[in-house]
Amino acid sequence: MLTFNRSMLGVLLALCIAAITFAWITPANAATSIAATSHVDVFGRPVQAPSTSATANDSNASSTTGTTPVAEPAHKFVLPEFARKVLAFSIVWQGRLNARLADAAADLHRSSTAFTWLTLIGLAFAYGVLHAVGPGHGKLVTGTYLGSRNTRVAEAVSLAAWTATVQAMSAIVLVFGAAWFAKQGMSNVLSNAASLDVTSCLLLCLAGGWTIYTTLARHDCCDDAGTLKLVPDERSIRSQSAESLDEPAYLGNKLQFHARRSSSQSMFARSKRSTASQILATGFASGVRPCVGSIFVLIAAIAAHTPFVGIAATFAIGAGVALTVTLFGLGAIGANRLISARGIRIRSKMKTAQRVFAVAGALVIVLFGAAQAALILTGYLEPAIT
Amino acid sequence: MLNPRVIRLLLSIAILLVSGTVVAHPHVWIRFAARVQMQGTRVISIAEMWRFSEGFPVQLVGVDALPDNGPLDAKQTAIFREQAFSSLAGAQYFSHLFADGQALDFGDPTGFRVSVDHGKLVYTFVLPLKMPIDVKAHKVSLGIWDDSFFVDYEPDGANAVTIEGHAAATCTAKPFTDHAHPIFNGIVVPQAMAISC
Repeated sequence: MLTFNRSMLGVLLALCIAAITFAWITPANAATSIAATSHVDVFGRPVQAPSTSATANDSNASSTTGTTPVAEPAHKFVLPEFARKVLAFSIVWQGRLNARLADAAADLHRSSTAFTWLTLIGLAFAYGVLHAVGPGHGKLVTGTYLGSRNTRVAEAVSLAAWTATVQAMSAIVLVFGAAWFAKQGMSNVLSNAASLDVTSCLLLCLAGGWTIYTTLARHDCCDDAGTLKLVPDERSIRSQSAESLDEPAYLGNKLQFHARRSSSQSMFARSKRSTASQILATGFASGVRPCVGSIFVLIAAIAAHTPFVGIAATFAIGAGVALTVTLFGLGAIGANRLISARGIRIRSKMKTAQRVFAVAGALVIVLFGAAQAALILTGYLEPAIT
Repeated sequence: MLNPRVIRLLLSIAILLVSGTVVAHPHVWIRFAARVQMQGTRVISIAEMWRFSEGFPVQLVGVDALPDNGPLDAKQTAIFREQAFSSLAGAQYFSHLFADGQALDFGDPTGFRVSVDHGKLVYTFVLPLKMPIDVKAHKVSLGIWDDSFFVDYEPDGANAVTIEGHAAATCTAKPFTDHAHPIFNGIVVPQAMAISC
């Protein structure tokens, strides 16, 4: 089984490496895959200085009719009105809060009072909450991970908090690193943030692969003793209290109890360790890409000579993000438990089904990371800075 | 049908689909005004003014400090042009002029100026059309938006788009919701102006 698991992990890693290698060697890379390395301007667009004039010349040559169909990407798809309004509402309010936040950060330059700081931090927290409402890659990973296995509430909170902390730290390191060490100053911050999108995708491959490996090798996706332990087993364990161990009994019975207890304890400890490692890996991978809102606040705070206020605001954004992602994760856990409860008639098959589903969830994360990385590196997708 | 595995799979696919469509935008806010410069019934060029929100991080452009008010000097203007304007050529400077649904091509912008007005950064420039378009012969519309919605454009007041030059007296610009060009994966439907004579 272990050999099989290692083989499977090897196959997954090979897939990731193949996708990335393909991305680097493909001819399209030379023309358009500046994605990971090019400069990104303040409008979030990759700067392609050498090809700009070429594009202009091309359009000169082809525009005898005055039209350029290629310049306008066709987005004919419109979401259903209800869904569009709900999403647009969250986006509009997030945008307004972000604008207020940016203005409040800029205001630090003029009046750096306690009231200004508190307003900024309050706005930052509210922005973080709404920032995470709109679906994104962090919630895809969190939702898939939590929704595909039996997880505890504490694990959902840990994953959300860890992801948000990594995201905040990523922005802080990026901005302060640029401010203190980079020759070009701040001008490359967004480019570096875009590069971290690719890094995040590659790390998601590794985190998903690790989750698959630990799930298959250690069976730790589905060991929820509270729901899966059979009633006769619990009765027999309860009947053997500490005192009863000293009572006369057949040696076989006592050995069986000790063996069962030590086995379940070590499995529980092992499961906890590997779940913690999965959460650390998954949270780091999905949080390593910083939020542009945090970057802008930090830049404004540094410009106003109040860097610590910027750091506090960045962590306030992180707290808001963690709150929303936690609620989202709890929803995923609730859905999982609801479905588990519905499957009571096929309980005997549930454990296998849960493991299959947990592996499938991790596989989705691996494939998502690999596909995103390949598309970005081949230039078919621009790195997302959000 | 209610197999838990199937339901879970569907749930995950739904999460995947919804999550993959959207990212948290916008991050830059601009209020715009546009003057459609016409010659008779033909549109010649668009003169635009972009007013950025106060929190726009000019440090990312490579400028540490701006004057309190007034135009920027040539050196700073050149930095803005290089770092935060020329790169928009591929996006047609976020300006979308359509004739019968076909996008029209702009030439190189002229008269690019940067100034600070009440603490806010302001761009002004003119986008000439490569081929002037006759509004009488075509259904023409103008909108200013960023497809990726990283930048959120809003009209600067009720009369943000006006008609200027030697336009025919009957020419008008009327606002409408441009359902033909949804942006941001179909979530945002931009506003545009129908120009007719």
